This record gives sequence, C-alpha cells and structure tokens, in this order.
Amino acid sequence: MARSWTKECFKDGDQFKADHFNRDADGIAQQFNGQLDQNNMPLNGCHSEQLKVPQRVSNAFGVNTVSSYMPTQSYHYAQWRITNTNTTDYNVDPASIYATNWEEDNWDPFWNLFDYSVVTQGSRIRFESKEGMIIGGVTINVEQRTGRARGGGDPGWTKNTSAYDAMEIGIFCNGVLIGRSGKIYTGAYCLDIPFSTPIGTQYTEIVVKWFRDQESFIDGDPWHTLEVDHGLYFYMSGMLLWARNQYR
Amino acid sequence: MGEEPVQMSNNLIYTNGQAGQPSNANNETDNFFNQLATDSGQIDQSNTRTEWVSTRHIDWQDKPLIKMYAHRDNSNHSSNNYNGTTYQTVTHGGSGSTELTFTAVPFRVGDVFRYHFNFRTNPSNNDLGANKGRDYFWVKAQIQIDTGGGATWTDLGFDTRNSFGTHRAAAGSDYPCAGYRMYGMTFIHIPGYTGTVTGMRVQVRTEHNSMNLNMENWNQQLKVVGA
Repeated sequence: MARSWTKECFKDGDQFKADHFNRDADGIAQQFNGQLDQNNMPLNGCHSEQLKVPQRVSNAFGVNTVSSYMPTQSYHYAQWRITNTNTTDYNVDPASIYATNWEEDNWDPFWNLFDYSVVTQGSRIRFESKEGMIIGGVTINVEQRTGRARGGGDPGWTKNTSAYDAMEIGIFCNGVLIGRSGKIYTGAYCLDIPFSTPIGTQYTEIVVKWFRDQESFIDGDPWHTLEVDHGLYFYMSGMLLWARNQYR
Repeated sequence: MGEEPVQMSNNLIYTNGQAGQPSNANNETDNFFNQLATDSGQIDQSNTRTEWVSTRHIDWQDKPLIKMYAHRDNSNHSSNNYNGTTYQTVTHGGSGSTELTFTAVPFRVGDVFRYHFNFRTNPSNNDLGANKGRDYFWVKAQIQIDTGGGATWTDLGFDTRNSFGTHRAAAGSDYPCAGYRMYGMTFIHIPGYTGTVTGMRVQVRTEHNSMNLNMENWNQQLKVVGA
C-alpha cells in the first residue's frame, strides 16, 4: 500500500479545508472498506467450490466405480480382485481366473470386451468429468501361453503353437483408444499401462479391452489335435483401472 | 478463528479550520499517513480472510494437494532370492526393507491413496530350466492402517501373479526369457472410512518352493491426496 498524497500549495492566510486531507486519504480508506480483499487475493483466487471436502461416491453408474470429487480434481477407480489359488504343475489357471478360449467363446480377432458376467467390475469406470485432462492407468495381470499340437500322417509330427502370437491391452475413453500396452508375448505379466486424454464436462466411460492374436486366424484352420490347448486361451487374473480428472 | 481481529487505530484526525488561520500546524496529515504506513502490514493480514487458508475448511496444508508422500527404493541395486509358498515381506535393499513405517497420518472419507511399486527381476538366477511350469510368483502391496481397532496391514489393490515366460507343458518347447524384466503396479484406494495410515510394504511368494524369485531393484511410493 503506497503512501502518497498531493501537495497542496497555498499562501499565507489561505484556509486549508478538511476536503484537502480527505481527498488524499480517500483512496487508501477505500481499501479498508472492503476492497483490500480484492487487492490481496484475486476475486477468483478462492471460491466456495474450493472450500468443500472430498466427496466420495460409490457405484453411481452401475459398474462399481469409486470416485472422490475434490475441489481441483477427481479420482475414480474400480478393481477386479479374485481369490487366487495355487496351480498344479504345468497348469495355468487358478479356479477363479478369467480364461477365455477363442474356439469356444467366438472372439473377434480385434479388440474384445471382457465378459462382464465374469469380470463383474474393474474393466470399466464411469464418472462425471469436468473440462480438463484425464490421467490414469490400468494395472492388469494378463497371461498367454504356447500350446502344442500333434498331427497324424507318415511320419507323425508335433508342433508348438501360438509361440509368436501376441496379446495387447487397450484403454478406450468414450469409445476412443487413448492407451495401449503394445504387443506382449508368452508369459504372465502384471502390466502398468498409463494413459491420458483431454476431456470435456460430460459423462465419461473408460473401458479396458484386450486383443489376442491367433495364428489360426490366418488360415482359419485351428490345430485339431492338441496335446496342450493353452495356446487358444487368453487369461486375466486381476485388474485395477483408475483415472484422475484434473480440472482446467 | 479464536483470535480477535486486529483493531485499526489510524483514524484520520484533524483540527477544524478557522477562518484566517492555518490549520495544519500540528502535522495531523503526516501523523496520519505515517501511522497508516506502519499499520499496512497488519491491515493486509487482518483483511485477508485467514480462514480461507486454514485447515478447518479445506484441509490445505503446506503441500495442499498431497497430504503425505512416502518413498523408498533399493538404492544399492542389490538382489535377493525369495521362495516359499507363503507371503513374506521384501526386506532387502540399500535403504532398508520395503516395510516402511512412519508417523501416523490421518485420512478422511474421500482422500485418495495412490500407491506405486515397481521392481526388476533377474531370471538368470532363477533356475528356470529345472522349474519349467513352476515359475509363477506373486506380489502384493499392503498399507498399515488404523480405523479404530489398531494398526492392521491391509491389502491394497489385488495380488499380482507373474511368471517368466515358460510354457505350461511337460513336453515341448521352452521359453525361459533370459534377461531383466521390469514389473510395475499402481493401485488407487479411496476409503469410505476415516483412520490413520502408518506404513507400507510389499510381500511376495512363489508357487513352488523349488523356484526362486530373484528380485533386484525396487521402488515404492505412497501418496495421500486430499484436495
């Protein structure tokens, strides 16, 4: 607050009125009378929305999303957590693992949704977004294996299958692909895949999809005599999908 | 706010003017403005609504967005073998165990726990050739929270299940992918209850006692986000 006033020039005998003082003091006095707040803190520097405590919301849109709406951002997550059990040697799947076989379950050779009747939560989150950015990730346990096929004839033969097939995880925001794992090959992995996207003030759904190559897609003829059918499967044993909406 | 507001004392005082007489002989104006300048610091303080930046309403603290941040990594990049079919804590590392405890930090309904752990494995020490089909290992994260019944280690996220890439058959080809692998996990938790958090840690187990999980570098962090 600067101290300033206007110099008054007068000659001996002039009257010096109170107005002369008041006019100079007026600019400063105004700041006492309410405008000091404005000068010290911009009008938009703080408003009632920022005074709220985080609001936790659970399952607002039917897919078990847990959300926290905060003054400057919101967080959302859902997870699929199963009771994993030991497997026997050479076996792949604990009882409650999500396992899908392309021959039996009729995959598309493209992006596939998880079967929501099995993976009841964790592969989708739904929330109210505000204009800004979405930054998030999916931590997911995925697995694929090679198989082994046997053919007759003279001589008979055996062959490893699906050794070079790849799987992939993609994240879609309102139908648009916003993140992907890249190709992943044989093994069981815990992937931590980040994603980000601009977003408007709208209802938002983020969905995880998967993609699994099948060498038999090439000629449409699967190995009919399988010693090990693991090559036909895609497995998932846990998933946590989360997103942070940073408001503009 | 528990404190009386600072009272301003710099009223503008002046002597009524009289016809034909100077009225500023007593320096009222200078006194006024001098006092005003002296008080300006107090004025700023008392007029800025301190409750806006107090912890009572918005829980802003020194770091307004992150209420707590704890981090530890394996600073000397040492490795250790873990095996056993029951969970055990990852204890090796140049900075100490993954089990890091700290002064209790209170959390509220709606606060966000944001946890991340990543690590590397070195399969060359994992005797994969002798354990084909037995190379699954499990990693899970826990936080120590007290919601009224005492501090309890509680699972965060889900138990992750990993392997090194061999196939699952007694016969046939084998793909024990040699080389370093890095695994990561990020978990979010938004409690519907209040309490305090006092620690974090990582536990691992293998599905077969004969298989070693060789864990090398690791990096663990936990944030509590509150505004």
